[in-house]
Amino acid sequence: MSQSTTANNAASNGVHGFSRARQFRENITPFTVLSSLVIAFLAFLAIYPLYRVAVRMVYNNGQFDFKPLASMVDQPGLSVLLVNTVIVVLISAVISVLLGAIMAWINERTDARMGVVTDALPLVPFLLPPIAGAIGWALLLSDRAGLLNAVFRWIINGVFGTSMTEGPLNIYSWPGLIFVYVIYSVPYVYMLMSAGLRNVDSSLEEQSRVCGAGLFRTMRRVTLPAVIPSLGASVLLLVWFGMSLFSVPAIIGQGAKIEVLAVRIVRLLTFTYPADVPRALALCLFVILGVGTAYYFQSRILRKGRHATVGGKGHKVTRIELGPWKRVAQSVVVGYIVIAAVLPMVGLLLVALNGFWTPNIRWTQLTLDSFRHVLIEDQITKTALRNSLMLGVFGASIGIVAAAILALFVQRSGKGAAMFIDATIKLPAAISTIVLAVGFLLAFSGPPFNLNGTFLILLLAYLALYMPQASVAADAAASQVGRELSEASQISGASAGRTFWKISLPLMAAGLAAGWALLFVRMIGDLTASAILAGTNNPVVGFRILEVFEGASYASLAALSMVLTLVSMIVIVILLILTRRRGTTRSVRVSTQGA
Amino acid sequence: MSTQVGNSANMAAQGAGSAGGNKPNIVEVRSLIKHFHREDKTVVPAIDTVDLDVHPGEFVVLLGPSGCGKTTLLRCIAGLEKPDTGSIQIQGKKVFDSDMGLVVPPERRNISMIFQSYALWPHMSAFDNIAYPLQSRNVPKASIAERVHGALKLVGIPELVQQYPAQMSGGQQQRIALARAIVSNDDLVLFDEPLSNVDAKVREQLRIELLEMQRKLGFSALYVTHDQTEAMALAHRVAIIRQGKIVQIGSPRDVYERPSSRYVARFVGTTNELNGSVVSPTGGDGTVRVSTEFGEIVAQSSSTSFKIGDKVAVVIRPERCTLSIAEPTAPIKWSGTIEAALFLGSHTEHVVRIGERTFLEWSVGSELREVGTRVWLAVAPEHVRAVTILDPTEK
Ligand SMILES: Nc1ncnc2c1ncn2[C@@H]1O[C@H](COP(=O)(O)OP(=O)(O)O)[C@@H](O)[C@H]1O
Ligand SMILES: [Mg+2]
Repeated sequence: MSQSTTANNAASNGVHGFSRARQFRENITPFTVLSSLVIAFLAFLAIYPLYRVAVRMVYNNGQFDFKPLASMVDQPGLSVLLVNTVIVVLISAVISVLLGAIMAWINERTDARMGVVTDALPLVPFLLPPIAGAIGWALLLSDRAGLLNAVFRWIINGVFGTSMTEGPLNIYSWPGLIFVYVIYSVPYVYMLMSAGLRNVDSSLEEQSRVCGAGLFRTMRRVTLPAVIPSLGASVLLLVWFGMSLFSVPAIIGQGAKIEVLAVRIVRLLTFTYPADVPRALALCLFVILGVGTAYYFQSRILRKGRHATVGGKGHKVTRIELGPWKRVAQSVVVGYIVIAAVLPMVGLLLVALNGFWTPNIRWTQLTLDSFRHVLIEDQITKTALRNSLMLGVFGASIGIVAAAILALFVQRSGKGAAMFIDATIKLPAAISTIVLAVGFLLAFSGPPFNLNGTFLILLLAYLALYMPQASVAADAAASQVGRELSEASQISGASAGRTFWKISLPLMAAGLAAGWALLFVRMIGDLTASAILAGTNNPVVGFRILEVFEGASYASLAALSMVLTLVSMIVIVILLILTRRRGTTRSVRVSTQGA
Repeated sequence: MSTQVGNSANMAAQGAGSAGGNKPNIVEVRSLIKHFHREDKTVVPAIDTVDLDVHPGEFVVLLGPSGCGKTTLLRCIAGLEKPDTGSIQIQGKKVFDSDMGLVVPPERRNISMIFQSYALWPHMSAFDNIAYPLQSRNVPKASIAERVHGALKLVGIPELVQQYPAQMSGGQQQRIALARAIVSNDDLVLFDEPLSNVDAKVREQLRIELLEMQRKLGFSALYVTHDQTEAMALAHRVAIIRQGKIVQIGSPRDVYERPSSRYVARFVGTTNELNGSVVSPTGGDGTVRVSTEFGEIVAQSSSTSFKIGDKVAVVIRPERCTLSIAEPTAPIKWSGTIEAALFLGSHTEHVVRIGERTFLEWSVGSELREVGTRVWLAVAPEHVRAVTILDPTEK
């Protein structure tokens, strides 16, 4: 036997080169070419803008240029800007972590859990895009004209016989700004903490209580240490989110005269002529520093602790009975939803229907005029709506299919190179969405691409920006399709492409549809990329809302925000109905997590 | 379809007995090696220098305990796993060769496979599942329906054609998977423990049908199982695998009656064993003298290369032992006492204590003896075998 093998080897050595070439041809199929191209394209979209940012820091127009670095210290009001950002981000993070963790604990560990509410809570930022929410709260709580303030005054004046004409609350203030940040941060904490709590076996807690420790002692000694990684991850996510958030400080911060980094960056690039790129870049560096610091501390937490994260399945969860406190716990959760979603929507709707912004609603004369105005009469708004819807449909479709291709590629090749590519594509958006958007401006608006003010630059930016979310959804969907199902297709003689279209994609459909819906909502409500990359030639809804806000026509503003909210809500509700029926809420939960 | 069935039936007749005449082997595996790297960086030799041939129309079973590398070997042949070194040829065509850097992807190997989980596509009806391999291989549309119905009839569930997998029982799913595997008339079908997920009754029934179908259609089968009864029932040849190596390959009768090692003897059946060492090398008559705790025994030798002093095991099958009250004339006999007597339906079992050891004796249709009775246990010399011990640490 061994002899004949040697003979074979000798013979085969003669045709070495030929066979290599043949094998090459045999393994390259149109689909592998396609998926390589898709992946290369995604990597390019992610890395190139960041590369341009890095280069522009020290090099411009064929020569070294250190103006951006110099601008790190040479900025008017720099220290105020930095302090403002740190205060807003950190304080809102602390409050959000507290609130989010409490609500997660209520829903995961006590008998105060409420089914639908549990599912809806993480979806708040999707039901009501931050830009619409910020405007809603401005309409409710601005000093004089705020609708809710009017109600408060009516009560107070009635009870105490006073005659207040403003206040008692003011959204255009530090607490107001932090309040709106918190509303949009809580769902992230809630998601992460729920997942963390689900991984802690409640028998650990029972054990502790059996040993005589009280409820609070148990929480401090057993539950808390076990969820420290989730807490760390929450803080990191909030710093990342807060540093790049533009819509809320643009609306609320402006009125309160509190400027933060993200707003200044956009202002330097879009509302300054000519755009002050060096200063904007210098501020980008501060954003990267901030997020980097958060990453550093998070990795320290992860490295230090031996956490009782018990993996695996089938933990028994014993719910703590809250007794009379159950109602209190439930009203905390319901109260959050009312404050975060219901009230601002009511505010938007009332102002839109009333025709102008006043605390004295003319209940008998509500009209749809302002809706007609934004939907039919105002040409720019109409274009913006059409653009946003098209961007949402194309962007979400392309994004989710590309993410599915990437997910299957990573799943199949498993290690090394594949994981590296996966991380590469997700990294830039993970550093900071606003920095990535600035990178797009540098990379694609000028030569050789000349995409400034086009539909395409927005589409590309959205793809890069929201790829991490698309990926999380697609990964979850892919992991639900057993490996043997696609292998059976290969064995049946199907090419890789056929296997993808006929087997993998249909089986991932439910999960991908959920991912599609979330992407769509993100893209139509986007303001991060739009504020920098959209213009009068390529208006989108987020950008148009900002413009109308500057122009102070509040009924149109409310109507437009309401339209955006309604479209988002309809898509999300359809998603919820579909996934509930198919029993795939789990994958939706997972995929919002990347948001 | 009908003509092809006829063709393959001829092949089967030819292939099953002989080494296949001048037809090429359906599978030729040479010096195949495959290691896995676990998460903790340890290296698992899942396949360790395997050579294996499957002749046309032959049913070869890979038998071994869980984790010995059976699935990995099957997946390497299917192209789902890439071996480290060696070569694989299917129907005379190289599909893997590490020296040439050649790897043909699964979809070009023209084989069928039945997975342990069946791997039916839940979003397709039975019809679509079975039609899929034909569509993938560009079979003309007109003949697809006919062939799918033919395959469904063959597996005995033509009425399920529009059902979805979730609406079927385990046994029915198994039949759909079988239909999907045979519909494209491939010459090689791979099976990975296909019967391990159905209950015992259905398993027996499916085993019989599978056997019938293979003999009728004449495809070559490479079948993985850890169940020795299944292996014996199905195989033309059984390959017994231990830690990634084929330790013996032969007909079911061969491996049962002429095991080459204690490992094989134990794996394919029940054994009575004596430990011993060789006192004279294998003679011309194929016997070897072994010194054991019961004195010197002349045993059938499983190897010509036994040297004096080699540690061996002497193995005797329980059904080859006979009990008697009076001392028999046979050359190999020991006296002992009945320790237990069991009626097992098809046969009786006696546990006999001989010195420090207990022996099992099985017989059909004999009366149970009383516990404590002194008896003689005898065995014919041709049923006493000296075999190598692969894993001396095992009891
Ligand atoms: N993908 C893999 N990664 C690491 N080790 C593996 C992998 N697949 C199989 N193994 C290991 O290889 C050995 C053989 O596995 P397998 O072929 O599945 O055994 P069998 O089918 O005989 O039960 C086992 O030790 C198993 O743990
Ligand atoms: Mg196996």
